[in-house]
Amino acid sequence: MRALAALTLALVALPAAYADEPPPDDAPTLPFLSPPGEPSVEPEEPPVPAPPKVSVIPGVVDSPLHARLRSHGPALFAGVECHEFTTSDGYLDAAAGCGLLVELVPFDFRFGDIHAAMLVGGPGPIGARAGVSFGSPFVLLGSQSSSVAFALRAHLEGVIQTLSQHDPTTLDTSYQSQFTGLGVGATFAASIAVTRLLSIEVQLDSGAYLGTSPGFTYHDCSAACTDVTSGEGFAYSTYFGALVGARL
Amino acid sequence: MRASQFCLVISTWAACAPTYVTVQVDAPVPAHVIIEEGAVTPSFETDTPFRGNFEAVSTRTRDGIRLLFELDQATARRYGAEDKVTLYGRLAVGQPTSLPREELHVAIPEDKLRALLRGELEQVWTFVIDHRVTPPKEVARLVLQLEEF
Repeated sequence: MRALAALTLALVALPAAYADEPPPDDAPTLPFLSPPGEPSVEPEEPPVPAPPKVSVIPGVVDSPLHARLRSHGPALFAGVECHEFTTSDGYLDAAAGCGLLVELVPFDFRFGDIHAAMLVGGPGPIGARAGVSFGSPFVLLGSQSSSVAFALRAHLEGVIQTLSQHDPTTLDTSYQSQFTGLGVGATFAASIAVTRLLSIEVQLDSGAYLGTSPGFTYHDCSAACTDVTSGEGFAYSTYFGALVGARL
Repeated sequence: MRASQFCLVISTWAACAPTYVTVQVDAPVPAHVIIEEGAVTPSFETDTPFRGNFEAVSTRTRDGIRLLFELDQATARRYGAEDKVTLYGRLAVGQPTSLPREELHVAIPEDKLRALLRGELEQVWTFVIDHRVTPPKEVARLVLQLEEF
Protein backbone atom coordinates (compact mmCIF):
# COMPACT_ATOMS: atom_id res chain seq x y z
CA MET A 1 0.00 0.00 0.00
CA ARG A 2 2.84 2.39 0.88
CA ALA A 3 4.57 1.61 -2.39
CA LEU A 4 1.43 2.47 -4.36
CA ALA A 5 1.11 5.80 -2.52
CA ALA A 6 4.76 6.71 -3.25
CA LEU A 7 4.34 5.90 -6.95
CA THR A 8 1.22 8.07 -7.14
CA LEU A 9 3.05 10.99 -5.45
CA ALA A 10 5.97 10.69 -7.86
CA LEU A 11 3.71 10.73 -10.92
CA VAL A 12 1.98 13.88 -9.66
CA ALA A 13 5.13 15.75 -8.59
CA LEU A 14 7.26 15.04 -11.70
CA PRO A 15 5.41 17.31 -14.19
CA ALA A 16 5.28 20.06 -11.61
CA ALA A 17 9.07 19.96 -11.20
CA TYR A 18 9.64 20.18 -14.98
CA ALA A 19 7.18 23.04 -15.24
CA ASP A 20 9.51 25.30 -13.20
CA GLU A 21 12.35 24.91 -15.71
CA PRO A 22 12.49 27.25 -18.70
CA PRO A 23 12.04 25.58 -22.04
CA PRO A 24 15.24 24.86 -23.94
CA ASP A 25 16.33 27.45 -26.48
CA ASP A 26 15.92 25.10 -29.37
CA ALA A 27 12.47 23.99 -28.34
CA PRO A 28 10.14 24.23 -31.29
CA THR A 29 7.45 26.83 -30.92
CA LEU A 30 3.96 25.86 -31.71
CA PRO A 31 1.52 28.13 -33.44
CA PHE A 32 -0.94 29.71 -31.12
CA LEU A 33 -4.22 27.92 -31.45
CA SER A 34 -7.38 29.75 -30.65
CA PRO A 35 -10.22 27.86 -29.15
CA PRO A 36 -12.72 26.77 -31.75
CA GLY A 37 -15.15 29.51 -32.68
CA GLU A 38 -12.89 32.40 -31.60
CA PRO A 39 -10.93 34.57 -34.03
CA SER A 40 -7.17 34.05 -34.02
CA VAL A 41 -5.13 36.72 -32.22
CA GLU A 42 -2.28 38.18 -34.25
CA PRO A 43 0.87 39.06 -32.27
CA GLU A 44 1.21 42.85 -31.95
CA GLU A 45 3.95 44.46 -34.03
CA PRO A 46 6.33 46.78 -32.17
CA PRO A 47 5.39 50.41 -32.67
CA VAL A 48 7.32 52.13 -35.45
CA PRO A 49 9.26 54.99 -33.96
CA ALA A 50 8.28 58.35 -35.37
CA PRO A 51 10.91 59.86 -37.63
CA PRO A 52 12.98 62.38 -35.72
CA LYS A 53 12.01 65.96 -36.25
CA VAL A 54 14.34 67.76 -38.61
CA SER A 55 15.86 70.91 -37.18
CA VAL A 56 16.00 73.69 -39.69
CA ILE A 57 18.79 76.20 -39.51
CA PRO A 58 17.30 79.59 -40.28
CA GLY A 59 18.84 81.73 -42.95
CA VAL A 60 22.06 80.63 -44.53
CA VAL A 61 25.29 79.23 -43.19
CA ASP A 62 28.28 80.99 -44.67
CA SER A 63 31.52 79.16 -45.01
CA PRO A 64 33.82 79.98 -42.10
CA LEU A 65 36.82 80.11 -44.36
CA HIS A 66 39.00 83.18 -44.20
CA ALA A 67 38.32 85.31 -47.24
CA ARG A 68 41.90 85.03 -48.39
CA LEU A 69 41.83 81.24 -48.30
CA ARG A 70 38.94 80.89 -50.68
CA SER A 71 38.81 84.08 -52.67
CA HIS A 72 41.35 84.67 -55.37
CA GLY A 73 39.76 87.78 -56.70
CA PRO A 74 41.43 90.95 -57.86
CA ALA A 75 43.19 93.27 -55.48
CA LEU A 76 44.25 96.88 -55.49
CA PHE A 77 47.05 98.20 -53.32
CA ALA A 78 48.57 101.57 -52.62
CA GLY A 79 51.57 102.49 -50.56
CA VAL A 80 55.04 103.90 -50.45
CA GLU A 81 58.16 102.43 -51.97
CA CYS A 82 61.66 103.80 -51.62
CA HIS A 83 64.47 103.24 -54.15
CA GLU A 84 68.11 104.05 -54.37
CA PHE A 85 69.64 103.64 -57.81
CA THR A 86 73.34 103.23 -58.32
CA THR A 87 75.51 102.86 -61.41
CA SER A 88 78.98 101.54 -61.87
CA ASP A 89 80.41 105.05 -62.03
CA GLY A 90 78.41 106.19 -59.03
CA TYR A 91 76.63 108.92 -60.94
CA LEU A 92 73.17 107.77 -59.97
CA ASP A 93 73.71 107.87 -56.25
CA ALA A 94 71.36 110.78 -56.01
CA ALA A 95 68.60 109.06 -58.01
CA ALA A 96 66.81 107.99 -54.92
CA GLY A 97 63.64 108.69 -53.08
CA CYS A 98 60.26 107.42 -52.04
CA GLY A 99 57.26 107.46 -54.31
CA LEU A 100 53.64 106.46 -54.35
CA LEU A 101 53.15 102.90 -55.54
CA VAL A 102 49.85 101.65 -56.92
CA GLU A 103 49.63 97.94 -57.60
CA LEU A 104 46.89 95.97 -59.32
CA VAL A 105 46.62 92.21 -58.92
CA PRO A 106 44.18 91.00 -61.55
CA PHE A 107 44.96 87.32 -61.17
CA ASP A 108 45.62 85.59 -57.90
CA PHE A 109 46.35 81.95 -57.27
CA ARG A 110 46.86 79.77 -54.26
CA PHE A 111 50.63 80.01 -54.50
CA GLY A 112 51.11 83.39 -56.14
CA ASP A 113 49.74 86.07 -58.39
CA ILE A 114 50.28 88.13 -61.51
CA HIS A 115 50.56 91.81 -60.81
CA ALA A 116 51.39 95.18 -62.31
CA ALA A 117 52.42 98.32 -60.50
CA MET A 118 53.16 101.96 -61.13
CA LEU A 119 55.51 104.11 -59.09
CA VAL A 120 54.89 107.84 -59.11
CA GLY A 121 57.68 110.00 -57.78
CA GLY A 122 60.73 108.83 -55.93
CA PRO A 123 63.78 108.16 -58.09
CA GLY A 124 62.02 109.47 -61.17
CA PRO A 125 58.73 110.91 -62.35
CA ILE A 126 57.19 107.57 -63.10
CA GLY A 127 57.95 103.89 -63.38
CA ALA A 128 56.13 100.71 -64.21
CA ARG A 129 56.67 97.06 -63.58
CA ALA A 130 54.82 93.82 -64.07
CA GLY A 131 55.55 90.32 -62.95
CA VAL A 132 54.65 87.27 -60.99
CA SER A 133 54.97 86.31 -57.38
CA PHE A 134 55.10 82.84 -56.01
CA GLY A 135 55.54 81.31 -52.59
CA SER A 136 53.51 80.01 -49.71
CA PRO A 137 49.75 79.92 -49.62
CA PHE A 138 48.09 82.04 -47.00
CA VAL A 139 48.22 80.40 -43.59
CA LEU A 140 45.93 81.23 -40.71
CA LEU A 141 47.57 82.83 -37.72
CA GLY A 142 46.45 80.96 -34.64
CA SER A 143 43.18 79.11 -34.50
CA GLN A 144 41.08 78.10 -37.45
CA SER A 145 38.67 80.92 -36.72
CA SER A 146 41.42 83.50 -36.86
CA SER A 147 40.76 86.49 -39.05
CA VAL A 148 44.44 86.97 -39.83
CA ALA A 149 46.37 85.01 -42.42
CA PHE A 150 49.83 85.56 -43.80
CA ALA A 151 52.07 84.46 -46.62
CA LEU A 152 55.68 84.84 -47.67
CA ARG A 153 56.37 85.11 -51.36
CA ALA A 154 59.09 85.95 -53.84
CA HIS A 155 58.49 87.99 -56.94
CA LEU A 156 60.09 88.49 -60.31
CA GLU A 157 59.30 91.56 -62.39
CA GLY A 158 60.21 93.44 -65.50
CA VAL A 159 60.87 97.11 -64.75
CA ILE A 160 60.93 100.35 -66.68
CA GLN A 161 61.69 103.31 -64.46
CA THR A 162 62.43 106.91 -65.34
CA LEU A 163 65.18 108.46 -63.30
CA SER A 164 65.87 112.02 -62.28
CA GLN A 165 69.30 113.34 -61.57
CA HIS A 166 70.48 116.77 -60.64
CA ASP A 167 73.36 118.38 -62.40
CA PRO A 168 76.29 117.52 -60.17
CA THR A 169 77.83 120.91 -60.85
CA THR A 170 74.89 123.18 -60.32
CA LEU A 171 72.43 120.87 -58.47
CA ASP A 172 69.54 122.97 -59.70
CA THR A 173 69.07 121.37 -63.07
CA SER A 174 67.42 117.98 -63.45
CA TYR A 175 68.24 115.45 -66.11
CA GLN A 176 66.09 112.57 -67.08
CA SER A 177 67.06 109.07 -67.94
CA GLN A 178 65.56 105.68 -67.57
CA PHE A 179 66.29 102.27 -66.23
CA THR A 180 65.31 98.98 -67.80
CA GLY A 181 65.84 95.71 -66.03
CA LEU A 182 64.55 92.95 -63.84
CA GLY A 183 63.43 93.09 -60.26
CA VAL A 184 63.57 90.33 -57.70
CA GLY A 185 62.37 90.51 -54.14
CA ALA A 186 60.38 89.10 -51.30
CA THR A 187 56.99 90.03 -49.90
CA PHE A 188 55.48 89.39 -46.52
CA ALA A 189 51.72 89.72 -46.74
CA ALA A 190 49.20 89.75 -43.92
CA SER A 191 45.52 89.51 -44.72
CA ILE A 192 42.72 90.50 -42.36
CA ALA A 193 39.27 89.15 -43.15
CA VAL A 194 36.62 91.85 -43.15
CA THR A 195 33.66 90.08 -44.69
CA ARG A 196 32.95 86.77 -46.32
CA LEU A 197 34.91 87.72 -49.42
CA LEU A 198 36.64 91.00 -48.66
CA SER A 199 39.98 91.17 -46.93
CA ILE A 200 42.37 93.97 -46.16
CA GLU A 201 45.93 93.09 -46.95
CA VAL A 202 49.17 94.64 -45.78
CA GLN A 203 52.34 93.91 -47.72
CA LEU A 204 55.93 94.61 -46.78
CA ASP A 205 58.26 94.07 -49.67
CA SER A 206 61.92 94.45 -50.32
CA GLY A 207 64.14 93.63 -53.25
CA ALA A 208 66.52 94.78 -55.89
CA TYR A 209 66.47 95.93 -59.50
CA LEU A 210 69.22 94.93 -61.86
CA GLY A 211 69.50 96.38 -65.38
CA THR A 212 70.94 99.03 -67.60
CA SER A 213 70.63 102.75 -68.03
CA PRO A 214 71.57 104.83 -71.09
CA GLY A 215 72.89 107.39 -68.68
CA PHE A 216 72.39 111.13 -68.29
CA THR A 217 73.70 113.60 -70.78
CA TYR A 218 74.30 117.09 -69.51
CA HIS A 219 76.10 120.17 -70.70
CA ASP A 220 79.26 120.59 -68.68
CA CYS A 221 80.72 124.07 -68.90
CA SER A 222 83.02 123.83 -65.94
CA ALA A 223 86.06 123.99 -68.20
CA ALA A 224 85.13 124.04 -71.85
CA CYS A 225 81.46 123.46 -72.57
CA THR A 226 80.87 119.91 -73.68
CA ASP A 227 78.19 117.23 -73.52
CA VAL A 228 78.98 114.60 -70.93
CA THR A 229 77.19 111.29 -70.49
CA SER A 230 77.33 109.66 -67.08
CA GLY A 231 75.66 106.75 -65.45
CA GLU A 232 75.66 104.75 -68.64
CA GLY A 233 75.61 100.98 -68.47
CA PHE A 234 75.03 98.73 -65.53
CA ALA A 235 72.67 99.98 -62.82
CA TYR A 236 70.89 98.56 -59.86
CA SER A 237 68.60 99.62 -57.08
CA THR A 238 67.55 98.33 -53.74
CA TYR A 239 64.12 99.12 -52.48
CA PHE A 240 61.64 98.54 -49.74
CA GLY A 241 57.99 99.40 -49.49
CA ALA A 242 54.76 99.04 -47.60
CA LEU A 243 51.37 98.60 -49.22
CA VAL A 244 47.82 98.42 -48.02
CA GLY A 245 45.02 97.16 -50.18
CA ALA A 246 41.77 95.31 -50.47
CA ARG A 247 41.06 92.04 -52.16
CA LEU A 248 37.75 90.66 -53.28
CA MET B 1 37.85 83.62 -64.75
CA ARG B 2 36.67 83.22 -61.24
CA ALA B 3 33.35 84.58 -60.09
CA SER B 4 34.85 87.35 -57.98
CA GLN B 5 36.97 88.53 -60.89
CA PHE B 6 33.97 88.39 -63.13
CA CYS B 7 31.96 90.41 -60.66
CA LEU B 8 34.60 93.12 -60.60
CA VAL B 9 34.72 93.35 -64.37
CA ILE B 10 31.05 93.08 -65.08
CA SER B 11 29.83 94.49 -61.76
CA THR B 12 26.84 92.20 -61.60
CA TRP B 13 25.45 91.18 -58.26
CA ALA B 14 24.64 87.76 -59.61
CA ALA B 15 28.31 86.99 -60.03
CA CYS B 16 29.20 88.38 -56.61
CA ALA B 17 26.45 86.60 -54.73
CA PRO B 18 27.43 83.37 -52.99
CA THR B 19 25.86 80.07 -53.91
CA TYR B 20 23.98 78.14 -51.27
CA VAL B 21 23.01 74.48 -51.32
CA THR B 22 20.42 72.85 -49.08
CA VAL B 23 21.96 69.96 -47.21
CA GLN B 24 20.31 67.70 -44.63
CA VAL B 25 22.53 65.81 -42.23
CA ASP B 26 20.67 62.69 -41.08
CA ALA B 27 23.21 60.78 -39.02
CA PRO B 28 24.56 60.30 -36.45
CA VAL B 29 21.27 60.82 -34.72
CA PRO B 30 20.40 62.04 -32.18
CA ALA B 31 23.33 64.34 -31.61
CA HIS B 32 23.81 67.88 -30.47
CA VAL B 33 25.68 69.76 -33.16
CA ILE B 34 27.77 72.86 -32.80
CA ILE B 35 28.73 74.68 -35.96
CA GLU B 36 31.98 76.35 -35.05
CA GLU B 37 32.58 80.02 -35.63
CA GLY B 38 34.69 81.20 -38.49
CA ALA B 39 36.69 84.30 -39.22
CA VAL B 40 33.55 86.32 -39.90
CA THR B 41 30.79 83.82 -39.09
CA PRO B 42 29.19 83.14 -35.70
CA SER B 43 28.82 79.82 -33.93
CA PHE B 44 25.48 78.03 -34.15
CA GLU B 45 23.92 75.07 -32.36
CA THR B 46 21.32 72.57 -33.49
CA ASP B 47 20.46 68.87 -33.30
CA THR B 48 20.52 66.08 -35.82
CA PRO B 49 18.85 65.58 -38.14
CA PHE B 50 19.19 69.13 -39.36
CA ARG B 51 18.80 70.95 -42.61
CA GLY B 52 20.37 74.20 -43.69
CA ASN B 53 21.44 76.29 -46.62
CA PHE B 54 25.20 76.05 -46.72
CA GLU B 55 27.50 78.19 -48.77
CA ALA B 56 29.04 76.20 -51.58
CA VAL B 57 32.78 76.66 -51.61
CA SER B 58 34.56 73.39 -52.19
CA THR B 59 34.30 69.70 -51.41
CA ARG B 60 37.84 69.67 -50.04
CA THR B 61 37.69 68.58 -46.43
CA ARG B 62 39.93 71.38 -45.21
CA ASP B 63 37.55 73.95 -46.66
CA GLY B 64 34.52 72.45 -44.96
CA ILE B 65 32.32 73.89 -42.27
CA ARG B 66 33.58 72.73 -38.89
CA LEU B 67 31.07 70.80 -36.81
CA LEU B 68 31.06 69.16 -33.40
CA PHE B 69 28.72 66.20 -32.95
CA GLU B 70 28.08 65.57 -29.26
CA LEU B 71 26.59 62.12 -28.66
CA ASP B 72 25.05 61.50 -25.27
CA GLN B 73 25.75 58.27 -23.41
CA ALA B 74 22.75 56.38 -24.73
CA THR B 75 23.45 57.31 -28.34
CA ALA B 76 27.15 56.66 -27.97
CA ARG B 77 26.44 53.21 -26.55
CA ARG B 78 24.13 52.49 -29.43
CA TYR B 79 27.06 53.11 -31.74
CA GLY B 80 29.39 50.97 -29.65
CA ALA B 81 31.11 53.50 -27.40
CA GLU B 82 31.11 53.18 -23.64
CA ASP B 83 30.45 56.78 -22.73
CA LYS B 84 29.35 60.00 -24.32
CA VAL B 85 31.61 61.14 -27.09
CA THR B 86 32.33 64.18 -29.24
CA LEU B 87 33.02 63.76 -32.92
CA TYR B 88 34.81 66.36 -34.99
CA GLY B 89 33.31 66.88 -38.40
CA ARG B 90 33.75 68.82 -41.59
CA LEU B 91 30.87 69.43 -43.94
CA ALA B 92 32.22 70.47 -47.31
CA VAL B 93 29.76 71.69 -49.91
CA GLY B 94 30.91 72.19 -53.46
CA GLN B 95 29.51 74.25 -56.24
CA PRO B 96 26.31 72.64 -57.48
CA THR B 97 26.01 71.26 -60.95
CA SER B 98 24.08 73.14 -63.56
CA LEU B 99 21.26 70.66 -63.26
CA PRO B 100 18.23 71.51 -61.12
CA ARG B 101 19.22 71.71 -57.51
CA GLU B 102 17.87 69.26 -55.01
CA GLU B 103 18.19 68.85 -51.31
CA LEU B 104 21.27 66.81 -50.52
CA HIS B 105 21.14 64.20 -47.78
CA VAL B 106 24.28 63.08 -46.04
CA ALA B 107 24.41 60.45 -43.34
CA ILE B 108 27.37 58.51 -42.06
CA PRO B 109 26.42 54.80 -42.27
CA GLU B 110 25.92 53.17 -38.89
CA ASP B 111 28.52 50.47 -39.45
CA LYS B 112 31.13 53.13 -40.19
CA LEU B 113 30.20 55.02 -37.05
CA ARG B 114 30.54 51.85 -35.02
CA ALA B 115 33.95 51.21 -36.53
CA LEU B 116 35.00 54.77 -35.75
CA LEU B 117 33.86 54.61 -32.14
CA ARG B 118 35.48 51.21 -31.65
CA GLY B 119 38.76 52.64 -32.91
CA GLU B 120 38.88 50.50 -36.03
CA LEU B 121 38.83 53.55 -38.29
CA GLU B 122 40.45 56.91 -37.73
CA GLN B 123 38.11 58.78 -40.01
CA VAL B 124 34.80 58.07 -41.68
CA TRP B 125 33.08 59.96 -44.42
CA THR B 126 30.22 59.98 -46.81
CA PHE B 127 29.64 62.03 -49.90
CA VAL B 128 27.05 62.90 -52.48
CA ILE B 129 27.90 62.55 -56.15
CA ASP B 130 25.75 63.93 -58.92
CA HIS B 131 25.79 61.20 -61.56
CA ARG B 132 23.60 63.17 -63.91
CA VAL B 133 26.54 65.16 -65.18
CA THR B 134 29.52 63.87 -67.11
CA PRO B 135 31.87 63.23 -65.49
CA PRO B 136 30.02 62.66 -62.22
CA LYS B 137 30.72 65.43 -59.76
CA GLU B 138 30.99 65.33 -56.00
CA VAL B 139 28.77 68.02 -54.50
CA ALA B 140 28.91 67.42 -50.75
CA ARG B 141 31.04 65.54 -48.25
CA LEU B 142 30.80 64.90 -44.52
CA VAL B 143 33.85 63.70 -42.64
CA LEU B 144 33.94 62.64 -38.98
CA GLN B 145 36.80 61.71 -36.72
CA LEU B 146 37.53 61.45 -33.03
CA GLU B 147 40.49 63.82 -33.07
CA GLU B 148 40.48 67.49 -33.93
CA PHE B 149 41.28 68.31 -37.52
